[in-house]
Amino acid sequence: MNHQSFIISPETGWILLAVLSALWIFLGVYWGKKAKNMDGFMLAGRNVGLAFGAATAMATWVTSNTTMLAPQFALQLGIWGMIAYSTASFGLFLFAPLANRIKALMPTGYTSGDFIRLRYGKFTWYVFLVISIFYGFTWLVSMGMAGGILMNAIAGIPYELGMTVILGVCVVYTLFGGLYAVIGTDFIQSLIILIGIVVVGVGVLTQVDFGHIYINVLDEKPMLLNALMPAAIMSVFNNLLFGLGEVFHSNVWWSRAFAMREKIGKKAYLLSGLFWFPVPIAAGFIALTSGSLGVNITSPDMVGPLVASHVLGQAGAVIVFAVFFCSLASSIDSLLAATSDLITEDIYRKMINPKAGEKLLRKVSAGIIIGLGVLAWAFCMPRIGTLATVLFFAGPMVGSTIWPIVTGLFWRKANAKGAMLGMILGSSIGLVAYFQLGWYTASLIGAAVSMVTVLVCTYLFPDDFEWNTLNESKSQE
Amino acid sequence: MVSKLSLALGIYCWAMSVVQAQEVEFVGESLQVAPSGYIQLDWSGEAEFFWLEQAKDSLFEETKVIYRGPDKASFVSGLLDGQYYYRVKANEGEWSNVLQVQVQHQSLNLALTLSGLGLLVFSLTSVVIIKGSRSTPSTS
Repeated sequence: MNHQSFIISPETGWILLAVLSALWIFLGVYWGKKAKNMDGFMLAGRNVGLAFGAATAMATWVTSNTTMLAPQFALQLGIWGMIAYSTASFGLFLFAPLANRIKALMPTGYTSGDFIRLRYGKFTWYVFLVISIFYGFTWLVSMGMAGGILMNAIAGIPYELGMTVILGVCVVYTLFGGLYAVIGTDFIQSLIILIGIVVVGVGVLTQVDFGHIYINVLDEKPMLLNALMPAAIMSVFNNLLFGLGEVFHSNVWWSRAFAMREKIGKKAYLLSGLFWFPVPIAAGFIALTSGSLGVNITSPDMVGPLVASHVLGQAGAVIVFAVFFCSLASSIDSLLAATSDLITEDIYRKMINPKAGEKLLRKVSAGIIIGLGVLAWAFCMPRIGTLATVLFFAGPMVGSTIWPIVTGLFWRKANAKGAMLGMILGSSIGLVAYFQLGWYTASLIGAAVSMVTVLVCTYLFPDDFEWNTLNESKSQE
Repeated sequence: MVSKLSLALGIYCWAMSVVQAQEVEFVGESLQVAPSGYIQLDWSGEAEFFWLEQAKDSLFEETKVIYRGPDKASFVSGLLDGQYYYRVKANEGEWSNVLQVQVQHQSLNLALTLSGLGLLVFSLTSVVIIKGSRSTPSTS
């Protein structure tokens, strides 16, 4: 691990960690009391309104990926990198109409896996589950790593301990509160994140001069201002399609669509996209100030926290610590809840024990949340690579799910052959691109190959799907 | 007796600091390729202060100080095509081994082709969603 000087003392760091951990656990247990049945635990009673709906979507999307990876993009890929990251908001914008469609087609649905199984059959469902669980787990690992890196860089808390605490806290409150706790804490976390980002932004703007930043970047890092930087150009649509794939397929977003009241989903996702859009640009901009501020960057994924803490000093570092802790927690809890739902519902209830009652399912779900936390912890321990390399490894896989999901929701003619082949070919060829060309091409290639495959198969083997099949409550009557 | 001991201790400390200073070296291969113009520099060694330099020639005739401070890593980005050389030292110690970085950005044609492909996929996806959500009733 890189050695660097710490911004706040480990004692202050531990106190902050203890206070924030106690707060989230208390709130998780408090909100968890509302979860009387499986619908309550998994989908917050399917009664989430606009404010909580928009806040949870926004907070979940403001993850370590935004607060740590967006500045990394700017530092590695310059102006295009900043813009590239903000394009991930298109995932939320385009999911808005899908959310209403999902809720209308599947009023009693639980997971994105339910949709694939009912729409395309078992074999496509298996492929989808592998992709979705792999992606969810990769995201979880990248987030756990981010927690450890952050606490080490800011407060000198050993990477292993910081990472263990943040994973442990999220496991505990998700375990008690389910989606009620996740959405409730997300609401508060999103407020802290937005206030914190405004404070950091104002702090940066009062200390640095735009002209000075420009000259410094032009002298020291000229390629970052080059509009024709090849890797940066490639990253724009790669990141956009990665974001689309992440939101479209992941149960994190589907579970919120199921949890929201009817016709709320579209507005909530549009609002969350609008709130989220400027965040990576603001976060990315501060990375470009690192040179003129004289901040040494020891690892690209630490540029955001390092610059923000440098600008705001000791007191500001406390705010930064809280903002980053919230952004990590709001995503880790969502992932734990959504991935556990996917495994409980799609694997345990659908494949292993269809007759399982609610009590047993709740126990299984709790066991899976703990298991996921422990497994993620084990993978986080060796700190495999930078956040981007870990997360974008799943890029081609999620990119390959875009067209099977979209056409499956709107085209009767879309069929299982196209969906399955699209995901397999898109993932495989995208992974080749990941290793041959770089991580900034993999999602793009994966999505393009999958699109062509789905189009060809829809033309060659048109289905005539009956939409009512997706409504399990109707089809069981 | 005491003065001899303190002299010996002083010599030992000086020798140790020289040994430690000489041990500063880059972690990883001494020749690295950076196809996107950025590189992570990590070095080993124990000291309170490090001095990192960059040059465009292997003899370090024209150098630029990249970093001075206690950290043992530095991330360099935004490099143009070309050869770059790095060396690091601790306090007043010896320079480390030289790290050579070869920057060769990817082909612009490839980048533009892939971007065109990305734009096509995104546009078609948007069309399917917008058209679908307008023309398809919620359940039919």
